[in-house]
Amino acid sequence: MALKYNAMNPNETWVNHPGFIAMYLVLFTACHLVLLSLPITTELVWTLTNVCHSLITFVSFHWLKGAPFETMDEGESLSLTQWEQIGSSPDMTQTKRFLIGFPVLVFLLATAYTHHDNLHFFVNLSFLALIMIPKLPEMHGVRLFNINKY
Amino acid sequence: MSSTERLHPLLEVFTVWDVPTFHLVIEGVLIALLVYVFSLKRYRPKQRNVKLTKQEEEELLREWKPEPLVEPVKEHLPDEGPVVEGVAGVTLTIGGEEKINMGTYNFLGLVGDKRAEKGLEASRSKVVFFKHNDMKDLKAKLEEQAVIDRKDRNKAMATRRFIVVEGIYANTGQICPLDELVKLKYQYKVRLVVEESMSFGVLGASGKGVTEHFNVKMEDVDMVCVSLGMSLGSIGGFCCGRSFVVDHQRLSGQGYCFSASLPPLLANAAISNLNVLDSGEGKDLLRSLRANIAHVQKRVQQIEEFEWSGAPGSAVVHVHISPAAAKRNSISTHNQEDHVLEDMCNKALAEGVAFVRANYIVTEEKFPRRPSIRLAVSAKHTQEHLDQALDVLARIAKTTLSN
Repeated sequence: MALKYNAMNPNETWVNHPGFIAMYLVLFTACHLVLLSLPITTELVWTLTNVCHSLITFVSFHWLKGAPFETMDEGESLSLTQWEQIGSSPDMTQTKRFLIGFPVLVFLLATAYTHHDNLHFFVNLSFLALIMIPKLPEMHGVRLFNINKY
Repeated sequence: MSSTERLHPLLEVFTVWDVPTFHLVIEGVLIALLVYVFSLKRYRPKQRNVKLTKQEEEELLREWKPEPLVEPVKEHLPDEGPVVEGVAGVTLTIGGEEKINMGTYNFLGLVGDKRAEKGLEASRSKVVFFKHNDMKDLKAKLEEQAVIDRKDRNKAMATRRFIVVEGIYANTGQICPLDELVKLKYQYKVRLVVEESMSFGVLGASGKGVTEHFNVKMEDVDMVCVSLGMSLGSIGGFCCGRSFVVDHQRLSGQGYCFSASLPPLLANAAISNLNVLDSGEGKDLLRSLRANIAHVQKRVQQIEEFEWSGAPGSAVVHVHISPAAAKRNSISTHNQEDHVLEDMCNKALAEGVAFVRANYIVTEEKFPRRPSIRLAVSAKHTQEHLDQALDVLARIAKTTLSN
């Protein structure tokens, strides 16, 4: 079991730190509070929260590739996104559970707070799909239409 | 929302009345996904301490068998062939007798290949070979690549391209046309890597290599790699380029810097030999080297059984059996030619001169070269040395290829 700890690429390990989920929640709450302070309706605030959350997680987990530091794997992770680097093993870690579960929770809250309005529902659903589809195991290393390939 | 009036304000968001059915279906699917994800067994990556029972420990200890440090020798290797003793200077001690050394890369007389191609293989890059020293072929191949690049710009932007040449080719003794290469480099936006092991300390007015030979600015060549084992008579090598190239190498080559660095003594030997090259003594050495090269090349041309490959100023001279002589003696295959040359080297050794047949691993060679005897000229060879060596070579060529 000790050998399963992968130190070749620190990208795979820092997200497993308990502080990661705490940081994520703090940033999410801060973003939501900022949006709440704007003079817009609560429905719009929840949809905007969901959209912002989706976009930020999409960029940081499914768009940017490589690692910000030197890895020991001779550049093998340079063409992989952050999710692909942590998701390469089939083990269900707490972090992966959180990264899959939390967007769904935000989506359910947003649909509830928008009183199941159809327009809000579609916007929320499409932004949820944006970050849930790349998380599927079948999408590992797949670049649709060569977008973001190089 | 008539039904919400009866509920507490905080709970009103959770009402499900008046909700379109497909909302409920999609949310149901998502909740099922959540339940599934959370039902999977959780994996904790930091379980480091595995506690073994006493029994398991003893079992592991019983199973462990130490491997021998040295493999036991199964059979004795035959001790045939000449054995070189001591320092490989201008003369060699082979089997207790002193011979003139025409085989060691010791161009400046400061000592008491395959490398570039192996490096390309190890880089895992896509390698395109151009015809040897043929700039037209290189240009055609670059043009071909440029057409491919115009079709897929995104890929082209992410691809790095290099032209890799040797200053003096170890396998042919020829000099690369660096001035034309630099022009092509800027035209097609390719980086240029020059392997200068054979040319550093040989070409150029002060021995700075092929860049000085062609009066090309050092900055126009992106990277120069030199083995310290040739002219500088040490071990190891160096790569140099502009500051950002050096920075990049420092960053990506850390493993090599720290695991395979040059021992300080050898580095110092190389540095002091560099100082010699820079001083007045170095100028004298280069002058005598150039005279020796010219002398050897002139003498080699006079042996009619041979044809030679090399270039003016190149201290590596390859001697092949000329087609006419090969035909007369019915030498047709690569192996036959190899054997004849090996035989000639052995005969020359008996007469006091050590020649080296250019050795290739034929199965590993992409473009097998013609078998040849490789002469390496040194600045410390005297006129008598060279005359004696080439007299022997000419005599043996005459007797071996007499038909």
